[in-house]
Amino acid sequence: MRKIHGLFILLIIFTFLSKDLIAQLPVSKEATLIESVSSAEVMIEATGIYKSKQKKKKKAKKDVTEKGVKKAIEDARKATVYFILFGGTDPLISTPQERQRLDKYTSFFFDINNVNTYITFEETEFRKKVKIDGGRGIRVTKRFKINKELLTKDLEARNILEARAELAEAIGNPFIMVMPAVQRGESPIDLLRTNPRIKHAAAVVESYLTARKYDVIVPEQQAALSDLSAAQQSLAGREEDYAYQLALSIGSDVYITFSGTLEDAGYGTKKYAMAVRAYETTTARLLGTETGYSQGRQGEVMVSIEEAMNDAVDNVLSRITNYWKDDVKRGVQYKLIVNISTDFDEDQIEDIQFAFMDVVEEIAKSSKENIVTDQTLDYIIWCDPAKYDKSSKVYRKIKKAFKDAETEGTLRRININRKMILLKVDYE
Amino acid sequence: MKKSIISVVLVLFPIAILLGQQGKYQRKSISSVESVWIRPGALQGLERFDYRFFDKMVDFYIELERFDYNILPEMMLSEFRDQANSLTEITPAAIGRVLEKTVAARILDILNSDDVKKNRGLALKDESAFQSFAATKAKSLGLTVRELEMLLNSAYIYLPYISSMKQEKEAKEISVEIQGGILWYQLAVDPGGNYSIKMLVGAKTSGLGRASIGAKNRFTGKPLYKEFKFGKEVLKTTEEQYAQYDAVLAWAKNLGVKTKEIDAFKLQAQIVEASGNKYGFPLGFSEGVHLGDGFHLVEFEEDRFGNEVATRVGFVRVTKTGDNKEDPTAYTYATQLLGEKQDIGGVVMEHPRLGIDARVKLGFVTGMNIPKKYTKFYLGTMVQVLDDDATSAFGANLTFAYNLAPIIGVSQTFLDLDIGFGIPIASYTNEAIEGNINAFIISGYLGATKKLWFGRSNLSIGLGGGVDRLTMDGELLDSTFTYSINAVGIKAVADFEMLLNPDLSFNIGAGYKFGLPPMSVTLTWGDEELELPIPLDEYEDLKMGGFSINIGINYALGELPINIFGFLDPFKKY
Repeated sequence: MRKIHGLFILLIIFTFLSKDLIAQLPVSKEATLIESVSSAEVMIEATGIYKSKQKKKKKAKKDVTEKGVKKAIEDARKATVYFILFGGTDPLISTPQERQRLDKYTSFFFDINNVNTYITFEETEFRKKVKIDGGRGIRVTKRFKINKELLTKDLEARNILEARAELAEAIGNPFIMVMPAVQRGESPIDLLRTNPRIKHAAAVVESYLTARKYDVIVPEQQAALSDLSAAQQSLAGREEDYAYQLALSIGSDVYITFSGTLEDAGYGTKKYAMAVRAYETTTARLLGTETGYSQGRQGEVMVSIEEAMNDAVDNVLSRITNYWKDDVKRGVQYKLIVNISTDFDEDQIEDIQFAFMDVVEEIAKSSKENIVTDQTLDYIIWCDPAKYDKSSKVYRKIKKAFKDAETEGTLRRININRKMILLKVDYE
Repeated sequence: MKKSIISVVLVLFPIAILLGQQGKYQRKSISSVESVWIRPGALQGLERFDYRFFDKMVDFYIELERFDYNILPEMMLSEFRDQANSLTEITPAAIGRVLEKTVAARILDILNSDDVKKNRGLALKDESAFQSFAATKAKSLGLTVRELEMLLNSAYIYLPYISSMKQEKEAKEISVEIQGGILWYQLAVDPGGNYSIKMLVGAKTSGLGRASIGAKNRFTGKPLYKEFKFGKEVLKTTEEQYAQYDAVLAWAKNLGVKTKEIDAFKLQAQIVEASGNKYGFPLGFSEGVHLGDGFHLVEFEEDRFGNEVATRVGFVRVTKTGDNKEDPTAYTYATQLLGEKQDIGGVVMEHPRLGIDARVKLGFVTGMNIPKKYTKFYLGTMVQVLDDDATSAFGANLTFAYNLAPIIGVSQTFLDLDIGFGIPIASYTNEAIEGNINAFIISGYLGATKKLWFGRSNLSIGLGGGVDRLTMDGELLDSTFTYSINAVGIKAVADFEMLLNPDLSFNIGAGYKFGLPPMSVTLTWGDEELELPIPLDEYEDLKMGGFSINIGINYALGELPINIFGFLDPFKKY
């Protein structure tokens, strides 16, 4: 009997709590991203709904007249936060775990006083204000500017999102290289040098990423490629993919390529369409792609480029962040390429390969074998950041383990950067 | 009940949807291709049509503050005239085609010019665009494709036309009547830059002007129709010109209201401040809003098919006009007279009127004194009209009340021109009945009324002065006659008025007219008018005033074929 009483009380408490949670969420949940105004703020057009709970129509209408607009505006404000958290193609809350953690704080995040702190601008006038359900409800649409950065920090402070600062502490922020996409055989560096629009677009991404405290580089020196020449043979089929080669040679974690075109938008205006793609450097795996559009304008191409780029890069960046968060869990990622001299015979090569495989097993939390040929070993390895937070440490360990294996070869390094360890094994 | 009183009109609202923001008036640019198009053979009896005065009236009443005006080169206008004149059949559609061939391209050039884009472009920007502008370190305020679409499709061409203008002369009376209207065309531009001229709307109206040759002011002795006043401007005229000007002014003023009534040109704005029954909205002098202007309160509602329809839910009147020429953020404030309270985001939509009310009252006057002996006079034979002394009368009044508020800055103050007609309650003598002789009182008063509003009702207090005329007319010795005893009077009235709809109100009131002793006796016999040398002290106890009670209606006019107080219009500044 006591048990039944207890369950009953629990049920009542749960009902009240869930009611409270539901009450905090917006009714409408309808919002559209208008523009990424800056790296921290977005302009959102949101709809708010208020429906009277009065049963009699006359009372309901009176209720809507008295407090409908105020309540609907509050609902629209909440809808903006809801949209940033859960809406669009790249919401801040992207995993079930994050959603679970957020549920505990729903009442905090959707408390109107808290919601108001994220709103940095609200239009005075309405885009729309429409009575619904025969006057028993009202729907309003307004534009708001939301400080997404502040919302993100609040999520991080409550451990709903893994704080970027913590990620950075554990493994560092992803190192991002930005490059224009080019035709096969074309040099992105030349394009950056000669095309002011391309240069401007790169600068916009750079500005966007640095404002969010990412390490970012736009390589402008052809020399950066020189060290890679020795590894050419291992990059089968990618000889002319400059962006990939540059990313590897620079040692970025992720590289972003972009390309844009001006399109006719009518009335003598042109709009810029910007395609932004993000790749994992070590594998050239596509992490995310997004196309951003500017509004149609007469002239002012640079403004259109910036607008289109801001539109696209924000979404791509959130995909990079999600990738990075996942990858961090596996450890620090390195690309390991070993070039084996042709002077060895078959048995010697096998000894060398086994020695490498053993050492990879030893140092890596997990690994992925890309290429194993007589002359080349190509691995992606994920190491414990506590032990191998630098590629030089990995190299030292490999060198030592290789020596201990007493093979016929001598291990030497060709190039080591923060992402890639490029080694060769010479015959003594 | 309320619903039945307030006119609830459902209209599809495409404009707001097109503009992106509900209830926002975007400035339009207008062009004129011809002073006025006069139908061949339309002018009858006129010596000369005064184009200059006509243009002045069109400039004033049609080229409103809410428009930007595009000036077209004379060469292009004459090309339009040549092609239009060579049309075998003149129809609005045919004129539209000529406009498309002759002036459309030039208007498009004007709209595409940097100056126009710069000056009008800012007005097309919404609040969030300015926010982005500020946030992006003022990188761009150039026009976007949406704004360009609005700009390029906001050009209109108008063509006033006269289908008939007749001048008639009867004895010394000259009258001029104009029938005509205005055609509005819109320049439509598609994204590819192709343009066409579309007929938007046509409106018809009429104007009537009068003048009497040689008429003079009874008090000053100055000729009445030798100069035509319009604001501070005084134009020397002949009586014929005066009648013509009078008619043109009335006609153009009517067309001005009809232009404002066109949906695309109606001023509208969102309520951005709401406090009780007072609302603030972003319109003002820049758009030509004046004190006392009426606006409908409009609410958007979703019907069962999901369409958004606009419903009129109330009515407000401007109590303070925003000076947005000086301060672009200044709001106009209005007080709600009809409908339920609204909140911010509601839409106000202009309800254009002439600014003249017509008031009709029926009443009863008591306390007057018209002794029967004063209805006795000699016209070849001694005649007496009334058989009893009259101490009361039934009366009717027609008042044209011109809203002075935009001129003096005091809301709901009217200049009244009142015409009264009273029938003394007394029996007629047999000879009067046989001779078909009538006795009545005609009054002409000029006064002012101030209305004090509380909700949908008001108390109006009026003062006025004028002339009452006890008139007896009929036929004697084969000739018509009018025998009149004239007296100056002053009156005070108080009315309780209740608004039934934005235009119509019901009133009930009382007043007192203090009649001074008669000042003259006149006789018109046949065509001859004489002032009779009768000692006025003979009528010392004649009293045409008294206490009156009345009921009536007040109607805000949207059209009036005659010119009343039109000369005051240029003084509107509040």
